[in-house]
Amino acid sequence: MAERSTGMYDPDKKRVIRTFWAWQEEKEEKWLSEMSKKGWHLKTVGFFNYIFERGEPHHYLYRFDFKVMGKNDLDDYISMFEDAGWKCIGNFSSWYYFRADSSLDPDKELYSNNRSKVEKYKRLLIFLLIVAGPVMAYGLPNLYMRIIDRTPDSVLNDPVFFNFYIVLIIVITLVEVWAVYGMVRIAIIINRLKRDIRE
Amino acid sequence: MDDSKIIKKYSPLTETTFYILLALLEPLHGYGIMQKVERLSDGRIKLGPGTLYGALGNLLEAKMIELEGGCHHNRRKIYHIKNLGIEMIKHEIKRLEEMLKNGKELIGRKVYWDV
Repeated sequence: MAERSTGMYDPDKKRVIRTFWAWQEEKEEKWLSEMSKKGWHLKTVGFFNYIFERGEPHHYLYRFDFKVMGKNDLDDYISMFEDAGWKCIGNFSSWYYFRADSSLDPDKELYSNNRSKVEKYKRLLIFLLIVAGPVMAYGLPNLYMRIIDRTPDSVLNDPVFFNFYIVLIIVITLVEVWAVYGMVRIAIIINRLKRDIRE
Repeated sequence: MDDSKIIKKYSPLTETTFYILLALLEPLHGYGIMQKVERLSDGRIKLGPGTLYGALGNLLEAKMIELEGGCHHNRRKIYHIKNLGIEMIKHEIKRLEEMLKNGKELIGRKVYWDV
């Protein structure tokens, strides 16, 4: 997790380069709360970066929701959260960032029971499976097979191309291993929640 | 699938889903549902918006509720119960009545024997 403040001319604004992994969601929510307590309030969620704006220190709650959705449903979705006191700050991919004032209700949550929380993480798991699954099941084996079953006229006999190919395979393999690790962590979260479904 | 099969598939409803269906006997938007469920349950059930949004999606898919048609100038969608939803509520009431009746009867007997 890289974190870096970049120089901007406005002293009341701060950009932080950062991203989080889905299984560290709570840690990230707490970190944003701490920033608000110091007077830095999340203003914009960008591509791997946040922009904070200086204001009065305040205890805000931050929560993220994961939802893949069409434009048609977005208005209804956002207004439901905003009516309930959760201001939508922005989204990064299918992660939506919400903030609420903790002084009104410190126990406020987006999800009021574990059953629906499980549904959220299942959506995330399916999303990862769709994104990473085809490469894992088809792309990677295919790439490896090309090395193992190399024909005499293969372009891989060219050493420059071969090196490039190896780097490509290593990068894709690492990304896939990371995706699998993520899925395992999310599956663990789902299991933990499932053990405590009360209704 | 015919209605009775669908009802059996979804029974027993969670109390959250039961109350959402009950609230939707009148057309409401999301926040209206949250307020009504909280009022009906005397403040016991505070629906989170994430939980409600998911439950509404499931109920729409099960064809127990529908979106009010027509032109809305409002960005909030209005939800309303369908016939299948009403049948679902009736089925659950019967189930709960049976539990209530047996519960009261047997706990009454136990109290009687204990005294």
